[in-house]
Amino acid sequence: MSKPDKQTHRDFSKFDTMRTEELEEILFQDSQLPEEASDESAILYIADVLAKRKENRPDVDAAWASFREHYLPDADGVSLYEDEEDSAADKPKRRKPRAGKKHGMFFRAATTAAVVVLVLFVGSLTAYAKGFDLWSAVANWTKETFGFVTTSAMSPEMGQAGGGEENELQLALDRDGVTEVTAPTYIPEGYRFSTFTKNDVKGEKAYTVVYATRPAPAEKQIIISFGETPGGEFEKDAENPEIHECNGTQYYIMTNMGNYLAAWRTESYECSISGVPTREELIQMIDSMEEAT
Amino acid sequence: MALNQEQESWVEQLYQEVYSSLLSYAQCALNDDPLAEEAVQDTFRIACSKVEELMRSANPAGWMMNALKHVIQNIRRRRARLNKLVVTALSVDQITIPPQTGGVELGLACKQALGEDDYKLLKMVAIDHHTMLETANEFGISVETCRKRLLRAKKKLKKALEIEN
Repeated sequence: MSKPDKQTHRDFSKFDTMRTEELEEILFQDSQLPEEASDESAILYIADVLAKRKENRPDVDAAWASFREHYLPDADGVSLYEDEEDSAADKPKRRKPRAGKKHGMFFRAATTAAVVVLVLFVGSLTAYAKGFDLWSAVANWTKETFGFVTTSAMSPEMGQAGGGEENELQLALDRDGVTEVTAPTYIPEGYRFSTFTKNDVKGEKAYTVVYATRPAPAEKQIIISFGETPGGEFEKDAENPEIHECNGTQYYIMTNMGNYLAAWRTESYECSISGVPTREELIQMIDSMEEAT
Repeated sequence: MALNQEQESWVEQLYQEVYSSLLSYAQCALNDDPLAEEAVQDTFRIACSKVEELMRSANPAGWMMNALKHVIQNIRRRRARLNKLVVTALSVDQITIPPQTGGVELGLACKQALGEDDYKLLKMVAIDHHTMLETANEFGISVETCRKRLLRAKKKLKKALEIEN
């Protein structure tokens, strides 16, 4: 079902043959991008492809009836989910979409919204804007968000707490002969090994280890991720990231909802440590990696 | 916001054209079907208040998709803030959540601060993750009223926590 974009005559037929999971991943990642970084024509096409693939199509007439009864009467331009904090903070401007125009992608530090997606690695995102070579890499991403379990086409190798306190991440890196990245040897007090996941999709490896506090109720997690697939995205607070340089590596240090996270890149890997309670503990973790190298 | 007949017909046609695509996008973004449906409804709710601007747009579908993204971001922020508020409330009341039960109860102090109804409303949205429509139906109120009561309940709880600290 080749369907050129009406307004710009772009051909999106490549998406017709992509797996549903890949397309869903693209839309999920797009939902975290700022407006100007999104290719709305492509996204609309993908959403339409997915909608048509669904076995249980939505009852649009029933949805419209519900809309008229429950949502339309009080429509005042304010979202049901908008808080006072959203009103007070600078929001991204809601501009009219410009038909057919694609905006270039760029690395940016958020300064205005309360929670802004930080998009890393300009090279991969430039490819996203200009063509479709990135789509296969996007489709192969593991879901590197806080607290989510990664998935892949192959069964992931997983380890869980209870098997001892060995550094599961470093053991996996050693087994695979990976020397470019090193696991931290310092973990903040109170956190214990929880889970380890390794994914290998089309030769691109991703390692994720989770350390968690004990006991509940509010279990806190520190998540360490090393992945060969480019294009990671991280939610962050409004302040600009701090650049912490160590042995030639630039670590971008920022906060998200009060916890600290670091993101950095080596030649082949995109890396992150997230959920750390204090900056000092994060720096200690970074230093322990550099010392172990 | 009352639409005239022409506007309502126009919106309904757009609704028929893009609802499924928008819903598909929201489902991917939120991984919660009822919430995804409400996100799309909320987007059209906003669109109706800006119907003249929307009708003049060269790309109404694109306009709707961008509006939906903002709604989704609002939903994520709201959930994160409510979660943080609830976690703070739990730590104040030192309530232990039994593992693997999936059940969470706010403390007695929170119930007293909010009152029975507002406590139940906040719990439905923040803990049990019901949509605004589901919560509104439970209380027999409109979604707009539900939104305002939720904001009020949040303020009351935050104030109670400040006093506790």
